[in-house]
Amino acid sequence: MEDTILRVEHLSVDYKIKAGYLSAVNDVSFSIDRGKVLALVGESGCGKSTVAHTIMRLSIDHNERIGGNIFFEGQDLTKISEAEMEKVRGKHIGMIFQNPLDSLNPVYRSGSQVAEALRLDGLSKHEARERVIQLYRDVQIPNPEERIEAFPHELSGGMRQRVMIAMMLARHPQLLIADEPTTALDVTVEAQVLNIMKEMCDKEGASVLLITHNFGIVAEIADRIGIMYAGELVEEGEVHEIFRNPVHPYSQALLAALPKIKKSEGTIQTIEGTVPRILEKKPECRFANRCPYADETCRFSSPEAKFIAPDHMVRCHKR
Amino acid sequence: MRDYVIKRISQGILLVIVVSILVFAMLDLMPGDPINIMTDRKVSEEVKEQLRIEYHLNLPLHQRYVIWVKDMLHGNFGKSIKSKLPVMDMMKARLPVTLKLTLTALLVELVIAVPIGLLAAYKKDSIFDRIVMDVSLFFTAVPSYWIAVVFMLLFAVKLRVLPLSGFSTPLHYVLPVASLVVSGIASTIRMTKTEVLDVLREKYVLTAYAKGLKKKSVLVKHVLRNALILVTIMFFMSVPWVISGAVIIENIFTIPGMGQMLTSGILNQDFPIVQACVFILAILTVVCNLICDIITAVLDPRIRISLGGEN
Repeated sequence: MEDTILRVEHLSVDYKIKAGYLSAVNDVSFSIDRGKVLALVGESGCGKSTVAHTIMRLSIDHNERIGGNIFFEGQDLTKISEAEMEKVRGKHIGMIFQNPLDSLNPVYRSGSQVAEALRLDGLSKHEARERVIQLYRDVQIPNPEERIEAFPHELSGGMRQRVMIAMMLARHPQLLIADEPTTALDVTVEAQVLNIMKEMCDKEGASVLLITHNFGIVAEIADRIGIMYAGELVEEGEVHEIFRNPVHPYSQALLAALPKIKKSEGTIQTIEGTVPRILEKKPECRFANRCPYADETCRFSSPEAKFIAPDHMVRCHKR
Repeated sequence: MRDYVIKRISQGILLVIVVSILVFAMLDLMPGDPINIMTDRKVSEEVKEQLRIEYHLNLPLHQRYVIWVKDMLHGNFGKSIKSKLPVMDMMKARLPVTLKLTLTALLVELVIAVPIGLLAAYKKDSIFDRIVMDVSLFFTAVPSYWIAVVFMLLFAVKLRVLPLSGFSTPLHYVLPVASLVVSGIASTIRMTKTEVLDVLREKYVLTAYAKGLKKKSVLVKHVLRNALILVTIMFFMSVPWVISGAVIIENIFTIPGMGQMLTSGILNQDFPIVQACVFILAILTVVCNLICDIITAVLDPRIRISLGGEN
């Protein structure tokens, strides 16, 4: 049996808004094994970032209601105190954010922001400095001795994201959450940054929860893939299995929407409609209004997660 | 950075020159003859004429301006029409009093307002936040002279713990400073809160949490540090304002400061005094702006870079 590092069980997140509760995440369950990469994929607004932020308990407005459990190394992160959570963040779970342009504090030198994390583990100023230089070297930042003195705005987007990777892996976390780490970067830089991240994680033996909407990235580095739609995990399985044999109509449509060079047709496949805002939880399939196979069952009862293979979960009435 | 400072200083000097011309010209447009105010009706025309010559009032405006500037560069602001004392000596006695009063008030205000604003932002919508915001709304609406009078009544007349007016001991400054602080603190609290709320939404605050920092370190090292940039700017921008705004408080507590001198100067058409006061206030404004720009550049490396290239 493989060693599970993170197990999310029936996670649901509802944001309190004026009209009631907005269901951002509903009944999401998945787990990540040690050293593996799970990619959560879906359209904008499908709740994948919310899952990431909820695991780290990083909420700005404190206006959400969380249900379910998040087990990290056997500890339920939804139950522990804020002080205990502070010990988990950075030390056991690191997180890289979407936009490296504003993820670093503009008034401090980049190296000192990495050192700040290291100092939490009791390193002296000098030790921290040496370690930061080493880390910069590991994430392939040229001239690390000079670059640690650079302010964030003096670094390019790719360099800043490397600083973030260095910062978040500085304390050897067992899990790294990467929330669309390369969305804001150029395609050429994207590959470099991803490779660096993957290499670093392999070296550290860290697992990765990768949030993305880019299937290219998924194919490149993920071991497993979870496809999210409107706050629900609709299909989850091994990467090759899902790519070869997508079962959920949404997964099929999403994969069909990938532009293929071989095709001579001038148009790109799209999925009609948009992701609905779920204000009221109703017994229905959330994809029903966009699904070509939907019938009465889909409109009046929620599909349960079922396993069509030992390792392949899907949430659909029709499969 | 050095080029930037030199550039800003020369801009400031230019500004002072423009303001001095404006001040000089506009006072000339004021109705009434200052000589008539200083002399009795029985004084003969010849004597009046002599006084005009003594104050150079017989000369055209531009010549008077040149004389004024020349004298000023020699530290001579002329003589008061009313008291016949050199304006420079009057200023020397009064400016320190005003500066002591207003700077103390501003400092006290900052020391109290910034932590409260920070806490109110952090505990947004809590009972603490609501009480702070309601109370500060109340004090924004109440004019400073009312507060001053209430303070006088309460602490000087009823309780007799503090002196009523004057400026001889530090104790005398307590009530005027308190009145200034109470009337100005609300806006500083609100501004700090707004700015902190903005910074709290910045991504780098999430990063700070994500790397494992404790709440307190995040708030002080990352949130407050960035929020203070704007607060500092507002602080230095408000210094000249507070000095001219302390007029009322100075009058109520009979503190002989700049404000009092300026108001009586205007009422008496004592133009050398008005010119000198407005000029000093203009210089203070320019200097405070300059300090403000330099401090912002020091606090915010992004500005530093866009200005000079090197740091």
